[in-house]
Amino acid sequence: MRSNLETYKIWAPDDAIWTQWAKPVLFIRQPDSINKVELNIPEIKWIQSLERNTMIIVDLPRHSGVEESLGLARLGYRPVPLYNGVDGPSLSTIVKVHDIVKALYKGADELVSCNIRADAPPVFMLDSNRMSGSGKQPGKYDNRWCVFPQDMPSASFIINQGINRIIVRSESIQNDLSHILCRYQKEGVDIYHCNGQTVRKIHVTQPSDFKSLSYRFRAIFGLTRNATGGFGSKIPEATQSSSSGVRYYGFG
Amino acid sequence: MDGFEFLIFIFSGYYSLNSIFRWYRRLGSMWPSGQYKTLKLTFGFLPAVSYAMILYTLKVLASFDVVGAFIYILFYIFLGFAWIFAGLYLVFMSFDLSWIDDAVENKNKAAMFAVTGAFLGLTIIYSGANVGDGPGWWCVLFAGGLGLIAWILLGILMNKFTGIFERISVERDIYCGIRFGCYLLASGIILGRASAGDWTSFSVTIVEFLVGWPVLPLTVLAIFIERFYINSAKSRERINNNYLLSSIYWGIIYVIIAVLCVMMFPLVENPAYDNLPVGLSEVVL
Repeated sequence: MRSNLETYKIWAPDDAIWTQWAKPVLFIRQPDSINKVELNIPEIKWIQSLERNTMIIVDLPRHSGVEESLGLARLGYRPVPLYNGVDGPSLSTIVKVHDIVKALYKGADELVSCNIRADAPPVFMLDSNRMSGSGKQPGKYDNRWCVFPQDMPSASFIINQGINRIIVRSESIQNDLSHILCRYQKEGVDIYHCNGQTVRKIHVTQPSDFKSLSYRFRAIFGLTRNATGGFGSKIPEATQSSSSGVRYYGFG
Repeated sequence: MDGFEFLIFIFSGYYSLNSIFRWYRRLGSMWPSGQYKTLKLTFGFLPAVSYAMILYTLKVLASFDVVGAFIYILFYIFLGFAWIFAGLYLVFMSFDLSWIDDAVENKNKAAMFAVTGAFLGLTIIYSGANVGDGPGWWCVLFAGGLGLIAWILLGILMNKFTGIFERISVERDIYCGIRFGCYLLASGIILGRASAGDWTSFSVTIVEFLVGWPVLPLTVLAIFIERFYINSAKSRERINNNYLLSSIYWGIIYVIIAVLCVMMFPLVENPAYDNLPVGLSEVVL
């Protein structure tokens, strides 16, 4: 198995223009073994070939997002991992990301063989389970995360790269993603949605708190940062109940 | 030191040391580790620079009962770092600029310059509030609080006309980050001066704070400059034109204007101001 840095550099090579948005969070800790991991890379039928004016956002659960992105890499697209939730202890982790880590490490072999151009249009990879599960529960490893407009290229940047069409491959458009898509839409970029079968043009409804200066602050306030980057940390157990409420070991 | 001061001493000591530890731990855990040297170097030196600025103020320009008292100097250093790191939260909340998310995790250089300006601006406002005689820590917080509120409100005003926060955090426009970072520093210098002076009363402190009026024309100038760059970028249909030199020039001009404004309204009450170079050498030695 390749080292963590080698694997990361395959997914985020220095010469690719989209690398500046890649998140290293899931590459930092190597998985134990990937020998038994089998990737089921689909043959992409909803887009026939590389379209240089098209950017794709894959927002699918767990490792299926990695597999779909590798299918698109075979067409010439550049996958860019945006996963930002840390892989914690498997039993108590709210968002299961361990199979994404394994798929990323295993998928590096496939990605090397794709010979993707440095200026290839991007496929931004998200985990649609990123906000699944309820919030800060004592004893749980809270690695829920959100994607923000700051995590993806600006509308003017993608337009400068010749992109005027975005396809979101997902089951639905999540609220955090709609903040980003709405910005693109306002700048004249067409937004399409793909459910795996058909691609249709959509109008993204403006979410509440759109362009609010405190939106990101409040969203992050409800999540749990990891001290070394990304999101994920154990929520302290309750030690004692009293009439004034629950006490914790430390700050939650 | 009375009981309440002691509580503040303990709280600010814990908060500031914890914040500094987390600041350096984030820098140290950036991955891949061999990269991002500019960011690590810049952010690595910021607490040290702030420490030197606060220490100089406390040893030379602060209240007569603080200048020679080690425990009070330590008290105000802790309070200063608590002020800076709490101020960075305020910057995130009000400006949507996060040193963790934008500068460190997204490796956004535009945000790095803006955060650097904010860090130094916060330091200078706090240092300014420490200048002059006063009966206690609360006059520092009140006078500095006036400067901080004005600094935040003017930043929001600037964003209203220029959308500068998104241009830094989303567009990652480095030149915009340089100019805004310098603006935050320059406005911090003027507002730090406005927060300085001997304590008389709350109302007189507010009146004396008006000496910081040059920050208004500075903000108007900065808004015009940003509007010019926005229009220029639009006309060329590109955001990332090479405006490095002109942005540095404008940044220097902002800071020069701020320094001239401070020189226009010198503090005359404290005799220590006649002897600044001597004071500086005392701190260094």
